[in-house]
Amino acid sequence: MQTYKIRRISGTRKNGVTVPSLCTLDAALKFDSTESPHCVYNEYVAHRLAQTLHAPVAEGVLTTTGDGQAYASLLLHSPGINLPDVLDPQLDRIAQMYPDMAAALVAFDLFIGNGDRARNLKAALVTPHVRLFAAFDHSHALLGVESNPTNSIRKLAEGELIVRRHPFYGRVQAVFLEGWISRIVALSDGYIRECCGMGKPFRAVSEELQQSLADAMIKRKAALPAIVQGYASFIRSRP
Amino acid sequence: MIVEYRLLQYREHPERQEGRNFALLARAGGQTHVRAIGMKRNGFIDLNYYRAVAPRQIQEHWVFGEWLQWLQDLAAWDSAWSSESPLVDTLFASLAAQERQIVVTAPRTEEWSGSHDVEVMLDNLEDRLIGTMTKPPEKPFSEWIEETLTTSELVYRKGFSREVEVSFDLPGAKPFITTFPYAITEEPRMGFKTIAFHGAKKDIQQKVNDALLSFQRAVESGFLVKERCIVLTQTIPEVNEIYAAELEELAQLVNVTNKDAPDRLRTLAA
Repeated sequence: MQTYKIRRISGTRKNGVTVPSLCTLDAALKFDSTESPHCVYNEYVAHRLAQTLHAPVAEGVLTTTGDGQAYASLLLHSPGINLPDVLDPQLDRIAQMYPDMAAALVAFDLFIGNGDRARNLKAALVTPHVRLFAAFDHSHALLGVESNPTNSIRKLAEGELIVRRHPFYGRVQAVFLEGWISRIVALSDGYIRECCGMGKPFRAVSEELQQSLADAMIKRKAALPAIVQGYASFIRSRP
Repeated sequence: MIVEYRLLQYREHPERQEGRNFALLARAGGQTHVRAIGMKRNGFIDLNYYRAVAPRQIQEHWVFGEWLQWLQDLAAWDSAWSSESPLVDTLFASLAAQERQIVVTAPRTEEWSGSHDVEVMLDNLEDRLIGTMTKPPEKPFSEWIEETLTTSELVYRKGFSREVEVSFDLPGAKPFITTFPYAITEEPRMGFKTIAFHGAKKDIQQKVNDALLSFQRAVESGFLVKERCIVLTQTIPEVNEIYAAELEELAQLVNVTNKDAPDRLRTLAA
């Protein structure tokens, strides 16, 4: 379970049975840019898919800035003091400590075509009472797989591996990975359409593009077992 | 011997740019070494020392443990330290850009002309740049209490509350109102008073009287049973044992600094 540190409580409402308080949480604001022209859409859709699947991804919300919508990724490494990003030599230990979460992340990244996982991950390693494993940054997935969204959609739909490198390749246990792949395959088409569709054009992403992405993701979830099977030798843990 | 080092700092308020050094990452003779507050030479980490570094973040001291492990892993990661690899610079630049509570200083170099023993050099750097504490600051009574209540899992009981004000009606008199610093208000109910038994005798006497009267009223009214009237204490000095004997007639004394305190509370709450 991820929790997010309150930066400030700014007041309590006197009315209402639960007497709610107003507070501020820390977040990283992400915008569309030349390098990642569909960043906000990608982050938001990846987050909705992760929520639907219960994949271990940091929470985030849409917000508005002077330039229109932005994505605010809540800082999960913010329990008052920032946590370090994981290091390569720690990956074996993380995969041993969180085998189910590591498999979830591999399956999820394969599904959304996120080839940029790198060290975008926080995990608690030496604190027995703290279970923390959460990934962030999905701007290079979905429509960001290629520089052109049409090519990204084509690659996703055609069942290409896309994720050539991943911190947990060679470290995931088959039993957990298969569980997560099955979960993705079982995802209803309707849920995928809801995750990808905003019901209106969203920044530079037309409704047609949203629809095409949903179609591609529906094809990709069906192709996922074959993708994993085809590359099992380097995705799954080595003896 | 040339030594290059970076310091890790904790900043209570990152915007003020004032930090407290808590760890040292030093590279000398082709090896990388870590020295940090609370880190023993055998690598054992005692986070109690971080009460002095981040006194307002008691609940988050575990994060320092994660950082110290991270530093040890980074120090042992040979390929990260090769002269061609920009990895360490990239890592620390990214950390600096975040402007969060834990930051790292730019690398500094010193020529060490003293002993050729690296450990001596590290001791010297540690002493000058981080400071050495012979023992960690004592754990305050409030922290002992919170830890015991958490470990015993009483805090997760339905009805667990802090600062519970209870009013007991007295026939023909004004109601008696008392505050339990901790209470479980759902059956089986429990009421807690806290007495550290340190400080002025007058204050101790006042607290004891408050506890005695509160528990007496609570039992008389049927709000509590004697077995669940709890006084959380520290080790009671001999001079104050007379109060302990008085309290024991009406309540259960639990020394929160004892290892078995969480078990004792669990048993009393069963």
